[in-house]
This record gives sequence, C-alpha cells and structure tokens, in this order.
Amino acid sequence: MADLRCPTCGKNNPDFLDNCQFCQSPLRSESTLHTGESPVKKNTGELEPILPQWLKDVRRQGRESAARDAEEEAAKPKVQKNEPPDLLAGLASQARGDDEEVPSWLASINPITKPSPASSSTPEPEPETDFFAQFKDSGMPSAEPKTSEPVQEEMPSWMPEPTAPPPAEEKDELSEWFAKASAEPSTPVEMESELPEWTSPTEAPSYAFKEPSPQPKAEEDLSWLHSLEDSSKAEAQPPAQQETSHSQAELGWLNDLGDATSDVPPGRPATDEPPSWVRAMGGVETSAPVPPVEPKKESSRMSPPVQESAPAGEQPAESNPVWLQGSEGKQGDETSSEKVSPFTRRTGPLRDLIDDDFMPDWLKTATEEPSMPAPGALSEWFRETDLTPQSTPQSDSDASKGSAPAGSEVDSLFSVDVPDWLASSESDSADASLKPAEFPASDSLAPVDLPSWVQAMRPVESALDLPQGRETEYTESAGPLAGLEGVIPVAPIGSSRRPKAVSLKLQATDEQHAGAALLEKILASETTPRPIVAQTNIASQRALRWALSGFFLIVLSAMAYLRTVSMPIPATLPVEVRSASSAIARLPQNSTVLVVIDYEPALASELEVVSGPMLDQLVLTTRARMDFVSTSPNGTALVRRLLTNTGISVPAPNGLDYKAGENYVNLGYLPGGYTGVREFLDSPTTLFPQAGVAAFREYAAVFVLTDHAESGRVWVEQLYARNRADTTFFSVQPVLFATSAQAGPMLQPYYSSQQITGMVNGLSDAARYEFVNNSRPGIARRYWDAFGVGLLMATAAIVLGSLWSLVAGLQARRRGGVG
Amino acid sequence: MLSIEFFSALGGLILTLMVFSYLINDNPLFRIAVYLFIGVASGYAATVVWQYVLLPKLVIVLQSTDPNVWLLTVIPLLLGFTLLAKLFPKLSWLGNFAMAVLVGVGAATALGGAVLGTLIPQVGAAIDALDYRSATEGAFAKLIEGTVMLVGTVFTLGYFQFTASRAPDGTPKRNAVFEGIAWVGRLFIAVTFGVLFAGVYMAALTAMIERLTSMINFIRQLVGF
Repeated sequence: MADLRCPTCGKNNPDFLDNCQFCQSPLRSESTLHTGESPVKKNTGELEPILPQWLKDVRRQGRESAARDAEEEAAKPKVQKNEPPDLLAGLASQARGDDEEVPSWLASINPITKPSPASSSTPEPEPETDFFAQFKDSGMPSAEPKTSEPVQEEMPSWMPEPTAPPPAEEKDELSEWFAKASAEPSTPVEMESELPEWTSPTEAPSYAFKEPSPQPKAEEDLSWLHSLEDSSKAEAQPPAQQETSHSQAELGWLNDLGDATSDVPPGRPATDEPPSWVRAMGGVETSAPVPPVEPKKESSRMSPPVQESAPAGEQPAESNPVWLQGSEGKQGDETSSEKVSPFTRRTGPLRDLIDDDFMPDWLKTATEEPSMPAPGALSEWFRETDLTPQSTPQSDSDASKGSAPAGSEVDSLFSVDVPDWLASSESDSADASLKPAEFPASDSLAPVDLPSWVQAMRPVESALDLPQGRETEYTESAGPLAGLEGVIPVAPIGSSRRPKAVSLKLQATDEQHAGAALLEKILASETTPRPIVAQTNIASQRALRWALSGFFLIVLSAMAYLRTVSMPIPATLPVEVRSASSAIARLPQNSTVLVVIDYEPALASELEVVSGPMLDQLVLTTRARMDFVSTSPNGTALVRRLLTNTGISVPAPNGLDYKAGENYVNLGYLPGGYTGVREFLDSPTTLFPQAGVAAFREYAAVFVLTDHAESGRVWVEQLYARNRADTTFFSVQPVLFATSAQAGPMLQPYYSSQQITGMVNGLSDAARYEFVNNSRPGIARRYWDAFGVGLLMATAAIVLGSLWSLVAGLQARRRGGVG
Repeated sequence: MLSIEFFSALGGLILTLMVFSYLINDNPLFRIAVYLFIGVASGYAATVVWQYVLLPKLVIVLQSTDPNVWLLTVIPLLLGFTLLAKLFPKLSWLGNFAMAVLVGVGAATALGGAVLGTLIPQVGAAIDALDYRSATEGAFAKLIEGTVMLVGTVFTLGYFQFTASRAPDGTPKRNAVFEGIAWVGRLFIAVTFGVLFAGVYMAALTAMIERLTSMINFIRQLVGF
C-alpha cells in the first residue's frame, strides 16, 4: 500500500485518506468536493484488501445474512411478501427499489439492507429471529433481526460518534422511561422472564447509537413515519394488513409485553396496526419502523432527503413509542431544537450529489473523519458504552426488555450504516422544520468547503447549550461562522448606534479670540463714518489767496496801464533763438513755408508774442508764402488772430499787408494725430488740395507753434523718422519751433539732438528775439515790464512763503520741544 | 465806435471778469463763463470738423463718378458708421474692427516715431554731450554741460532704483552709495519740476498780462484817454 506524504507535516498516511491523520491537512487537492461539482465515481474494489478485520467480519456477516435472506425470500409466498404491515409497506417497496441502486459490494456489507442474524457473534434468542421475521416477510431485509451486538462491538469509531449524545444523558432518559414502565401495574416480572436474552440491559448501549439520529423531536420521527404510511398506502393497502396479521402471529412472544407497558395512547388510530410485539408492549409504538427506513435511506441516498422529515410536525405525537416519547419528550425537546449540526453546510450539497455508485459511506466517513481510531480503541469504546446500561437497576430495565429488541435492531442498523452526517442531517431536518426560512433544503447555503478538522472544532456544544434567554442572539447558520452565536451583532440598519456627538465649538485660545476681535473692530471701523476735522486755517488761506490775487492784479494792471518800458531786455540771444533767426535768414525768397498752429486759445496770446518776432522776420526777410495747418480744431480760428495781432495781415503802413489766399493759406484742420501728420508728410495735397506745394519736401521751412510738448514732439518724430527713411526728404529744411514757456523745456532736448533747427521759448526769448529784430512787432516789449514784475512778485511770494513755512515749522518744533 | 470789435472787446472784458471771479470763490458767473467757453469751443470744433473733414473728404467724394474713389470712400465710411455702434452696448462689437484698425495703425505710427524720432536720437545726443572735441567753441562749457546732463540722467534713474535690503529693525534700507545717488537725482527732479512750474507760471503770467492789457486798453478806449 502506497503512502501519501502529508505536504504539511511530512508524515506518511494511507493513500485512501484525503486528510492527514496527524495534522488534518488535505493530502489531495481534489479530495474535497466543492459546491456545484459532480462527484466522480471511484473504484473502491481495490480497497477491500486493506479493510480492517472488523470491517471484513461485518461484510462477511452481511453476505451470509443476505444469502439466508434470499433463501427465506424464496421460501416465502409472494402473497405474504407482498403483504407487509401497513406501517412498513412503503419501506418494503422502497427497499426493493433501493436495492437495485446499491452496488453489490455495498449491499453485501450493509447489514441493514441484508441483515444476517446468523452472523452475529453473540448468541441470539429465537424470539429475536421470530421478531425480525416480520421484517423479512414485509420484504424489508433491512429490518431483519441481525446481530446487533456483534455489530456494535465491531462498530468502528468513524460511526456517528460526534453526534452521539453523552451516555450518561441517554442513561438518564432511559432510566426515566424505565421508571415509567416500572410504575405500570402490569407484571414486570413476567416480562422479565419472557424477555429474550438480547433484551438484557447489556443491549442498552445500542441506544447510544440510536439516540443520536432519532433523537430529534417527535415531529421528526413522525415525519418519516408519515411518509412511510403514504408510500405504503400508495403501494398496497390490503397486503399491509395481511402482513400485520402475519406479524402478529409471529411476534406472539412479544404480546405478553403489552401487559408490562400498557400506555396505549387513547387517540391512536386503528389503522396504524403496530406489530404484534408492539401490541404486546401495551400498544406502545416502538421505533421498530424506524430501522427499515433508515437503511433504506442509507442505501438509496447518502443522506435522507430533507423533505421526508419536513412534514414531521403534522404527525401526532401519540404515534411515537412510549419509550421514545419518554426520551424524546425530554431529550428531543431539549436537543432537537437546539442541536444544529455543524456538518450541515458540508453534507448538504453532498446529499444531492452523491449516489449509490459513489464512495461507500463507511469509506467516505473513514476518509473524512480526521482521526480514525484503531480497532482496539473501538472495542474499548463499546466496553464503555456497555457498562453504562449495566449500572441501571434491574427493575428499571423491565420495560426496556420489551423494547430492547426493536431498539437494538434499529440501533444496529444505525450503528453500522448511519454515519455522522446522516445523524446530523436528521437533526438538520428537525431544525429545518423549526426554521424553514433560515435553512432551506436547497444547497444554496453551502458554498463553504471546510476541512473536517475545522468543522470538528466548531463550538457545536456551545451552540447546543445555549440558554433560553439568549435566543434573541442570532446563530450563524452558514459560512465559516456556522454554529457561532452573536459573532455579528444583530442590529437593525439605522439603529440607535449613532456616532458620538462631537462638539462643533471652536477650540481657540484667548489670544486668538483677541485677534479675531481686533480684526472685527478693524473691519467695522472701515464702514463707520468718520467726522471731517474742521480746518481752522481755511479762512486765513482764503484771505491770503485773495490778498495775493489782488496784489498781483493791481500791480500788473498798473504796469499795463502805465505802459512802462523800464525793464531792460538782454541783448544776447539764446543759442536756439539764434539758430532759429539764422535759419530764417537763410530761407530763400518767396519760398513756401508751413506754419503749424498747434495750440489752444487759452495760450494764444503767449504764442502770438513768441512767434511774432519769428514770423515778422520771415515775412520781412523772405516774404515767404505761408500755409497754415492746424492739428487742433480751434487752431483754424487762431490763424487770423495771429496774423492780426502780429501785424502781418494788417494793412500797410502799420502792418505787412499779408492777404489770405495770396500770401498765406489757412489749410485748416489736420485730423488723425500721428497718422494725420504722417499722411500729411507723405502727401499734403491729398489732404489739402489748396496746399501751395505738391510734396512736403517743397516747403522751405516748417514752423511749429505749440503750447504742448506732446503735440510738438509728433511733428519732430514723424519728420525725423521720415528723414531716416529718406535722407533727401526733409533733411535740409529747417524745423523751427515757437513754444510756450511750459512746453519749451520738454522740447529742448530735441534741439540738443539737432532735430530742431531753432526754437523760441516763451516771452523771454521772444523779447530778446524782438530786440534783435528791431523791436518788431513790439508785443513782447509791451508785456516785458509787467512780465518782469510778475516774475518778481511770484519769486517774492515763493520766498516769503518758504520763509513763512520755515518759521512756522520752527515754531511748531519749538512748541513741540517745550511741550 | 459800436463795431464788432467793440462788442467783442466788451464781451471779452465781461467774460474775463467772470473768470477772475473765481478768485473770490466758485460762483455762477465763473460757471457761466466756463460753460460758454466750452459750448462755443465745441460748436466751433464741430463746424471745423464738418468744414474741413466731412465735407471735403466724404460728401464731395461721394458725389464723384469715379468708382475707385467712391469705393475707397465707402469703406472708411462703413468703418466710421461701425464706430457709431459703440454708442449702443449691444452693438458695440460692430465697431471693434474699426477701433482695432485705428488703435493698431495709431500705435504702430506712434511707436515707430517714438523709436526712430525720440529714443535713438536722444541716446545719441546724450553720448555726444560729452564729446567736447566736437564743440567748435566753449569745449569746457560743453564738457560741463554734458557732465551735468549725464549726472542728472544717471542720478535721476538711480533715484527710481528701489531695490533695498532689510535693516535689522525690519525697515528697507538702500545702500549708502545708492542713497547718495538717489539724493542727487532727487535734486535734479526737483529742479526739473521747478523749471516746468516756472514755465507754466510764465505762460499763465503772459496770458494774464495780455488779458489785463487788453482790458485796460478797452477801458482806455471806452473812457477816451
């Protein structure tokens, strides 16, 4: 036999094991059957040589019993065979049908389907054989009174040991039942004397195997009984009655037992027709029908279908035997409703998937169980169980003597063929009857595949021993947490478990509060109207302003009225004025010059004074034709005033007698600023057809009269830029500027860069130019004295004001120092 | 004697006194005079624009039979009408193109003129200011003048240099050298503003003297002496 080495612990294991017998680790990955997978048929015939001796014995006994059963079947008339008791009629048919599906090797080793009383190792009394003959007659080989003791002695440990209740508990229930039986006025002595040997208390341990599986509540037991009744009714009712009569005849030895236990339920229906030995027990229904059912289920299916136990609640409780009622009434109520097999999840799907061709239950159980004890250990286990009923009083076992044969027979069936999962499935079925909604029969709740050792570690006991007060806690029924209670708190969604309230109060220090208060104060002060501080010195300033204004008006008016010419005019001309005078002097005679009027009426008087000497020289020396163009809309009206005030257009002999259209042309307004000037430079005749030149370069000179530096710079820039593009454009002709005193300093750099040929700036330059030009036209000279006085007064006012401010400052500083 | 010149002079006298009344305080006479000047100037400007712009460059040209001239006139006319859409917020976008043309062309012209006519020539002039050898006469004076111009330009630019480090007390403080340069530059700036103010004062003083002289002459003519 080849050994499998455990990948976890490294120890060798038999190859028929799926899990390591030492560490319970899976030896093969395919050993587990997952949900949704179909079981694979395995050939287990080769495993027979490796079977233990006790199993071989069992199989041998099964073969012998099957052979004997076959002989009896052949000897029996068909009428009797087809007339099983009403209660067991359905079982016979099902058993026959199931036999067809059971493999031969499984049928041979199954003592339930093929019981063999002869193979029992212990001597069995004859009544036992007679008793089980009714099962033979009913066509249910599984009900054959096989040797229960030998089977129990050789019961392997892989039998439903985990689900077996404690022996002490069993003993107590049985003792109670026995006590009830002993309390009857019947004659326990007779019963004791007539009881067969197998009904001795030594057979009581068989309950240890019987109780785990049938221990569910009375409703569960009645369910399969009810199903059996239905099946029997569906098959043949009359034969069942004949079988019953036949059974009564054969089980006459049990009729005396009826005196011992006369607890016949008053409402029991007559159609039940219990066996004769049952009637002999006082009409008590034993669990004799149970064994035929369980083997049938076992042989046909690996586990009984849940549907069979589901309608158990409909069965009246009186149908249970008294000895079962005694035990089930107490134990079944206590455990069936609380016992939840932890293997339900695992075995549930297998119930639907495993068929008879699959691995035999004993082998499967052997391979699934984590620890398979040695045969020696099994004997010890049986010895322990055998000792338990021996401790019961002899008087209490009177009633058990009557039921012991049937009970031991049933137990023998369960002990051999009913594995733990079957017992648990029964308990599951009982549980399902209680909680149909939570545990449906379908395998949809079995998605978990857990190792058997993990399942064995589930706290089943704790779940079973739950107190009644903890029923409100939810017990997990599916998944890895199956069997655990209260793991996941049961609380409705949106329950009172709300998060802890957190205070929204700002945690700020006093300093931060102070800063916030200061900020709020500042923001509030922005919107608070503040009173305007009254200035006490406004009146004095106004008086000072009136005084200075009056003083200036009076002085200047006096100077104008007096027409004084007392103030001398400097004889030397500034460089720019001299350059302008020289440029005009070099102009050719009768040439055409351009005069740009680029000032506003407010400063017309100054520009007339400034440009007067220059234009007078031009007219006198060259008699040039003047084209006037204005870059200001009001400039066109200033041309005539200019020519009038400078005496150019004044008729002779007081003036130069220049005539409009003949000696000068007022071209008008030139719009566009920079672009207008540029356009005029490119094509003056396009803008002003009356211009005296065809091109700008034909002008002998350009005179710009401006009171604004910006407008004067436009002419300078455009002319210079045009000259740089075309050096022959206007590089020779002079560009002369007559500027106001406020614009002269800003245009002075252009003269320094020689972009302007000459410039006359303000009244001072005009007075000098006029002085050099023989005091013509004389306007500057008339204003010169008043201009001089006005400058002196302004200078004096500035100095006096500065001194006043200085003294006031010193006084304020002195007062501040003293204070 | 009651000629147009007399009434003109009389009107001038009255309006001048109304404007001088502002020396006392803001009064209706001053406001009437101001409103009158503004109205007359605007009316006159409108007349000038019609006379010198619209009539010769639009009305007369549109009467031309030359399609080229007419076409070249219609395009500016349409652009001019789109500028009128600026008066209506919902239609102001129509004038964007004409405005873009005006601004673009004007900016290009002004920029070219500023670079070629002001920036480059002035840089050259600043350099030549120290070239005393080119001076035919007064080379020393020219050197002094160039030096003063250079110092004034550099120190004035240094005044507008505001980069400074932080003093230990947290206040920004410039380097001592830069502080001296800025102080000198501030002097040049003060002198420049003083000169500009003096020019404005002289221009206003000249206008005032002209007005006083005109008024006295009118009164003198009116009185007869």
